[in-house]
Amino acid sequence: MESALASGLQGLFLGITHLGWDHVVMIIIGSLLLYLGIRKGYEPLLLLPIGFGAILVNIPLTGFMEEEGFLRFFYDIGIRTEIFPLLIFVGIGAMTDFQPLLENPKIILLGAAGQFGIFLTLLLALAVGFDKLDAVAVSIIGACDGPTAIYVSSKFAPHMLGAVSVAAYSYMSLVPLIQPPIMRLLTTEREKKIVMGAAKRPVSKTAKILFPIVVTVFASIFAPKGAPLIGTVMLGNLMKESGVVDRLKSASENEITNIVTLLLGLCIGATMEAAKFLQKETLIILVLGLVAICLDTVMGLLLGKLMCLLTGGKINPLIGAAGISAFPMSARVVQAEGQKYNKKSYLLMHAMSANAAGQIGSVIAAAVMLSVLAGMGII
Amino acid sequence: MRIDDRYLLSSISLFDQVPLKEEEMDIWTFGFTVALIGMGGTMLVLWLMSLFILLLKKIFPYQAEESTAKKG
Repeated sequence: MESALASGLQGLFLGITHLGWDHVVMIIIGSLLLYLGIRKGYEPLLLLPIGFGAILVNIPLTGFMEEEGFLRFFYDIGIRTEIFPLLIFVGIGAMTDFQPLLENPKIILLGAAGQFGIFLTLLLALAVGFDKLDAVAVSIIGACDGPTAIYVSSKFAPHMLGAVSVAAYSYMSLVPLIQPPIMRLLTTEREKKIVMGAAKRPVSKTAKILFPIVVTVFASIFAPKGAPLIGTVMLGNLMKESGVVDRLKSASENEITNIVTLLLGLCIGATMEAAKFLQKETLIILVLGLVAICLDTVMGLLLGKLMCLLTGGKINPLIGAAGISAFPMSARVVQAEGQKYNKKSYLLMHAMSANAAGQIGSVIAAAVMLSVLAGMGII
Repeated sequence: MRIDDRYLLSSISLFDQVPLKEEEMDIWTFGFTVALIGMGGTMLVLWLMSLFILLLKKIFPYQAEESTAKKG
């Protein structure tokens, strides 16, 4: 009887006896993510489930990520198979209006420059000692695009998925803090004050419907390994522009995206087990992620300056900073920054074009990278 | 450091090369090849895309559609 009581009591305290300092640290980190999401409003849709997932998986003996564990099940069916990020892409496509980009297609080049941080960070990651595929996963934070980062890192460096995803989403939400100092530093007073003319050039419905089809076929031929990324975004956009499948469009941008976001966030949080996350490598990933987004901004601004020069001062280089995928946050930052220097300057529509280009650019950059890796026999 | 031309060519999937073995390549050749082709490829694809958009707008102009709607 006594031994039965003792073993029963022991069962109650097993959790406490297995609780290490590293679990406590991870629970604090999970709580910090919850704080950032709830109190600061930084990407709450993702940081809340990620934070909670991180807490759950770091409570000893819960077995969430063991075989047949609750979160392991969703991880296996949604992240290992890359289905979750792709479903999110369908929703993003259904929510995104590419009209500003179609109105002003020259601006699309800014969306390419805004991805150069990915490739420059790849070199930095290799320099600090990451192996090839790990470096690819770290560099993709520079896409400033959560689902792309998840897609690539879950494919090539699943052990880094938690750190890469947290970095991607955290920095995306910090764009209003990260970009303005770089914008001020790299543009002259005269450039900041440039007033850009109206960009309103209406686009026919037929062109809007054909756009996602043409982009899918064309970009997938050039970068076939990225076809799932491009195809899903454009499928969502085709549903939106066609106007004939409102129910599917609505389901993609609401129910499907919401359910997948919840499960995706939980699963990412579940990869943040103490033993895997509390490493020097994680800190380096966070630093390199920040560098990647800074480099994106720098490269976008530099191309903006070049375009300004080539057009005889008709383009305000500030819109180059919006060539990243953080939509529409980055465009708003550009508008606010432009207004500080010239009250008559309305850069929002131009910045939205660059920002929409950045959304396509991030997917294309990832697709190109995957195809380059495949061509080199790395994947 | 010199980037081997074979890597540059093999990284462009358009030119159906036999993939090189990973162990043949040092990290810097890998890094610079991916960075160069990646940046160039992204820029090229998006530039061509902008041309496609212009073409689409030329073939299907807004005004033509509007006048058709008025007739209907």
